[in-house]
Amino acid sequence: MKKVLVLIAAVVALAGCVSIPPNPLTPDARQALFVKDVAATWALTPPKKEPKKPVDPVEFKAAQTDVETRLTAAVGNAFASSPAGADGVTFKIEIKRFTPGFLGSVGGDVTVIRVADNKVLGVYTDVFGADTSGAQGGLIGLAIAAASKPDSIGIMSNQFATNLRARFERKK
Amino acid sequence: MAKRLVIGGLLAAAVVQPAFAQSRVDMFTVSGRFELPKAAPPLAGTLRVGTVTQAKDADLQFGIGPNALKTTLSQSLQASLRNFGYLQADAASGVAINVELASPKLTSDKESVTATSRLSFTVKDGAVPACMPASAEGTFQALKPKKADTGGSWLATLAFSAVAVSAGYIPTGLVQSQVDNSASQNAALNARRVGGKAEGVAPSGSSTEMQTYAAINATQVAIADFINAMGVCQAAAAQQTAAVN
Repeated sequence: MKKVLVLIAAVVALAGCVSIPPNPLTPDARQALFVKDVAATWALTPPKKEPKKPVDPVEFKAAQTDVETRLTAAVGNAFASSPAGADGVTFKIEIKRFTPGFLGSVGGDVTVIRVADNKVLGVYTDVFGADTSGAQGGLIGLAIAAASKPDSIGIMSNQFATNLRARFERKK
Repeated sequence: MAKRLVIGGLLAAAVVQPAFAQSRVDMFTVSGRFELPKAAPPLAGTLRVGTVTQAKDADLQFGIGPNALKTTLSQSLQASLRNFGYLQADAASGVAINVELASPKLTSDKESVTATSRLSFTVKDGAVPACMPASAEGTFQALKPKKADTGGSWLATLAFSAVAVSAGYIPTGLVQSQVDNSASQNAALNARRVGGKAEGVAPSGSSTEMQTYAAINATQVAIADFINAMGVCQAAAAQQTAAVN
């Protein structure tokens, strides 16, 4: 029993170690703005052939275009009506990591730029979204999710937007 | 590869949080997105929100209690006036506007719900400022969301669940996971739909939620109508003055 309690305490302590960077915008600054535009840029190039997992550069390019469209739509949707301030800002997403396909992920930094004077108000670093289809169902769930070919890019884009919204809502 | 997948899943589980409901006050508030004319003298920085009342049972259309509706409407009017330069920062001075919300009128068909919301404005014990309208109206059409075709995935899950249950395995996590996937795919699909200023895709297809969504947005459009009327009137008055001089 003691061992179990120690194990639980260790897991809880480790969970607390997952650090999320502080919110770069104060509550007042967040309330004063509205998201006018969302744009995505790439800080990575299509990979050349990896030794174990070949990636077709043409397919990767097509996936890049898709993720760009879906990611900007998902983030725009997450901030469509809130915040509702007077100053328009652009959310500029710089995609630094992208793995296409089932269980893929997308990650990068989001810079908040005020449209009126192009001033950078803050940067949300390392925002992350993943396609975790079937992960809750264990191996069986993974197998079924793989067979059903979920909309991976849509799912990872929505998760990215949800995570960004959560970071934006944080008090500090 | 398997290890990378497990680590990826754990990381995602650690970072992912439930979707945040966007602030209710923000949903009523007219932001800079509406691109309405800003306040000019003599109305700039002179108005504040006085009492907010509502017609009997108006709150039923908004899915919140009467007091919550009054508070929300008062805060959103205040924020909207601030966004366009009309708000008097000092709560003790300025012109207090009393606002009355009528019950939104709702009509619906198979694919949408349309709400029309009306606000009336009065000023207690004082002259109504020039260019301040006595009423404003907004109409909003809430469209039924499209559903992603996840039939194949659901069928596979149900078929597998039946086999698994018969083998003594209860796949509750798996079924929940499929619900989550379906919701994510619906959101991805609807993120690609484009709506105009007076229409939008409701977050849910249930008639109650579509009515609420339509009523809230129609009221927001009514507040925008109020602010726009003041801006247009002031611009016209300024032009007349310039022409005379």
